[in-house]
Amino acid sequence: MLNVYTPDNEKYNNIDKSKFVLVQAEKEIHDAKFETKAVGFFKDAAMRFIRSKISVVALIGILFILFLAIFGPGMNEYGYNDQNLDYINLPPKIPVLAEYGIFDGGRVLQNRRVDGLDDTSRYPEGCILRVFNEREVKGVKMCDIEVDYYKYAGIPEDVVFWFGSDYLGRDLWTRMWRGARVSLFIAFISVFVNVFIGIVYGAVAGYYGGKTDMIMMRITEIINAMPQLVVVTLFILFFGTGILSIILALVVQNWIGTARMIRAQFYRFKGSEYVLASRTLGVKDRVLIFRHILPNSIGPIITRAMMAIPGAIFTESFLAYIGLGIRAPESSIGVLLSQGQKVMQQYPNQVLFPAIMISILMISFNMLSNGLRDAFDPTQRGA
Amino acid sequence: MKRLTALMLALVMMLSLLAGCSKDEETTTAAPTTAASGETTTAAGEVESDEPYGVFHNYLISDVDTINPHIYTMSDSGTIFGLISMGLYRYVPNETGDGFIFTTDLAESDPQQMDDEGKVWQIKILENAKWENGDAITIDDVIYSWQMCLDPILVNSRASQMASDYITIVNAKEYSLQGTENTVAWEDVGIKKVDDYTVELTVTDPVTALDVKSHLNYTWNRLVHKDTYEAYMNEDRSATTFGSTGDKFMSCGPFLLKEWIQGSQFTLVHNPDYVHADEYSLAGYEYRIVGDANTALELFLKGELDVVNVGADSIEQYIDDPRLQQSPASSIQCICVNMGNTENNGILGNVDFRKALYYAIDREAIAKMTNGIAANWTVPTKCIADLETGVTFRNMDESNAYIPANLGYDKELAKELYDKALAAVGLSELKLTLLYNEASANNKKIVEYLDKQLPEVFGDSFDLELMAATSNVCTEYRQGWRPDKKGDPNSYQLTIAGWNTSTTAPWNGLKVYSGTYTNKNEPYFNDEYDAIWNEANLGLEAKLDNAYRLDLTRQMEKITIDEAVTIPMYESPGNYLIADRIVLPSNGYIPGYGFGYALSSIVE
Repeated sequence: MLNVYTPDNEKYNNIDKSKFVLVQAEKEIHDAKFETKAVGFFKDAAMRFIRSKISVVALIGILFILFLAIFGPGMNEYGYNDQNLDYINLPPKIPVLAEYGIFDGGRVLQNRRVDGLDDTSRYPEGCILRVFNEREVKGVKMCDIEVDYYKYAGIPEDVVFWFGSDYLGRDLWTRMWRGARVSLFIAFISVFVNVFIGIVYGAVAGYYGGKTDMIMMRITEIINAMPQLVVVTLFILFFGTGILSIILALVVQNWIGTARMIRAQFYRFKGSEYVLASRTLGVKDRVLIFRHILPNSIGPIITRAMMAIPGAIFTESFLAYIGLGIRAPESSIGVLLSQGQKVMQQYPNQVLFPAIMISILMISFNMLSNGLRDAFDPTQRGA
Repeated sequence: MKRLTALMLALVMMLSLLAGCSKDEETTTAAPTTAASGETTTAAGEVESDEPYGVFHNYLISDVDTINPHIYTMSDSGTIFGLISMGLYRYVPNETGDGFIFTTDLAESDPQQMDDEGKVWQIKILENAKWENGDAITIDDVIYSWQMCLDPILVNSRASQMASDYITIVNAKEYSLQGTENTVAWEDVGIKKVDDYTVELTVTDPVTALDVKSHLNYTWNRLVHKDTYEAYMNEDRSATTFGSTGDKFMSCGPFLLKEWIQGSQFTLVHNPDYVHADEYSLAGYEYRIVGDANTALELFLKGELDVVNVGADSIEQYIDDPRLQQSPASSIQCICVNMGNTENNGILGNVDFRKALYYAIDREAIAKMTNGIAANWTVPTKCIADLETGVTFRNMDESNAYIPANLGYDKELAKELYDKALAAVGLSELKLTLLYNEASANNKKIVEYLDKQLPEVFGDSFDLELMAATSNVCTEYRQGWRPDKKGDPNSYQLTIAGWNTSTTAPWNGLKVYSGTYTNKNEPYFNDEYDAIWNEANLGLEAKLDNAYRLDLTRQMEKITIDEAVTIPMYESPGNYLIADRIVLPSNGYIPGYGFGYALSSIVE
């Protein structure tokens, strides 16, 4: 049973008062000092982010692609629109790897007459690497052959195309990284504009609430009700195909999601005590919105922006695929995929490299945004 | 435990997917096997009874908008209509299979000349011909079809070709162009009923029986079913939806239109009541719509198509294939210039500018990327100058004397003409829009090439803007300047198109640049040219003297080049893989006729 001292308790009256000692008479009472430095919001997030290995790999992947998008087109002597009709549709040839039989400029040519293989005017000496699948069709002996296509097409020894060339003899390495640059540019610009509009719009609607909010939200619903493809088509009719139309098409509706999210954040925080206190002290609305409430949404905004980037790249590719992409001869991932798909059976390299690149880019951005979300808002982990 | 369940679930899903796949594969392989075995059984019985056997599987690369012969613009429309309709005459491969002859279709015999000059002709038709529904075909059907084609209120795009081509029917043009004015009565037109099975044609200039047969072989001069045509006419009789769907049509040709699933398939079946039914041994003929060249090739390799066009991208893999057949190019692909365009101070109307374009194009490069033949002329290589010797027009020295050297590629001259043209109209820089068909791989290659090449020749003051559109939209813009269409002189600036021309009559093919041709692409009007065309096609002297006719043809071609009426670029010969089971009427391509798929037979 707990004994509690009370002055009127007779039990304690007999205790000698001198036996009482003041424990902290000479010491100051205070909390123990932190032995480590304080961890800020971003540092905390960064620590959590680094712990997720897959996100780090994704980040490296993105940085690698960004690096190549910036410097890749300058790595060889070809320009993105340098045409040479003597070098049409060449297979990939990478000098170092060629020694190991990978990307050595080889190609399988089907349905060749066996009796024609000695004809050096068609098959220059040493170009046939392998003869296989011999058979008889309509009484004619046929076979498939693998040739060194660069020799077969009479290309000078010093001419190489790392990723092959396209239907106008343009270098696909240069066009791919140039395309990546264009696609990333479209994605970053459109996402930046989306986030900017979304923040301002959502903040105003969320902060003021009431009728302002009601009207502003109804406007977003009207804008959102228009099918995106129709909007895109209208933009293209009006402005013609090109980067501007695609960015506008990506911006016109995509900011709505950000606006709604920001609005919700404002509803959550605008009634908090610290906001009420600031307001009582006479802080202006503008400062309250951007200085006091908005920073709470930084995490979700960054996450959302990162998630929107692969979406924008994908939309650009999709538009290019259905013929609404950027104007020739400019290249983009979508344009390359669309063109490559048409000759997928004949020249698979033309679709393979851009496909691998867009896949890496999409997966990396999704992983990165997952990692960022977990880092900024651990409560949502795994959601 | 949870992880294990999730793994199990994923595994089950994967397995079910795989199971689905294999099931699909089974169905796809099973279906043709059953069909094939079914066909084989029938075949065994049919060889003895000589019954039609087998279905020819062909394909179209785009959907057909109408099979109304009076208004169609796509050659596929004409091809399909040709299979399910009848004309008075038709052409068939000759006995040796190296050419074709005109023979009777609905007509009983050759046209009979009724006067000394050759201006009045009578044609008797067979009395046993029937429509799909069993109605007898009489001369009223023939006359009705022609009257509707020429109808002044319907204003059909094919009316001018019915009125005047190999022959010029008296008052037909005046009748068709009068609108609502009613100045020329149908009775005044040189088409008269003699009796229930005979029609009389009166023409303006003396013609031969071959002219009459050639003219009446045209698709737009074939028969339409009166009741069906009338049933879908609108109230003011200004349009009919006849032929816009399968149920708005009535067949009478070698095949019957059984089903037309728009955007997907045409199914035709043998018509036992057709007057020459015994010449057709196919039980059916199918067209699938396959837009993608690779898909078509795959379908061919799987045996689902009997013929496939091998494009420039695939030809390398099939160049030695014994199944490969070649056909000459059907048309010359040109840059059409809208010389009536008033934008940019009307520079497109400036001959020097058009010639600058003509000389700026490196046709050899274009031929290389399209696997075609570089062409800086306007009469295609396929055209035969002399039917007896088989000499082609292009192979005659006289026909090449006026064709610019080096395939018309001369950068310096082009730049000089360009600067002169710009100075003449008072421009310091120029931006033009080139419209192209997005579905055509060759178009895409060419425009991207020109986009780079032309500014290299003309200098930085020139800029080419590329505009992709669907085939239908391209046609709409290309012909939008015409008064009967939108009537907007600025409907387009530059675009790419080609005309499929007659193999045996190069003088006739040049009609597309004459002022009276109603389906024109470019607003080019030149009286001198029209006079030569008329002389070459309708003049008696030209008909009797082939050398003179060819000379007139050269004069016309020279004008088209000198005035750069159009900018020819390349001809694209066709490469086709034809299935082993198909036995063609001749061993290969029949000049001026084609491969003759409809007349082929099938041997499994």
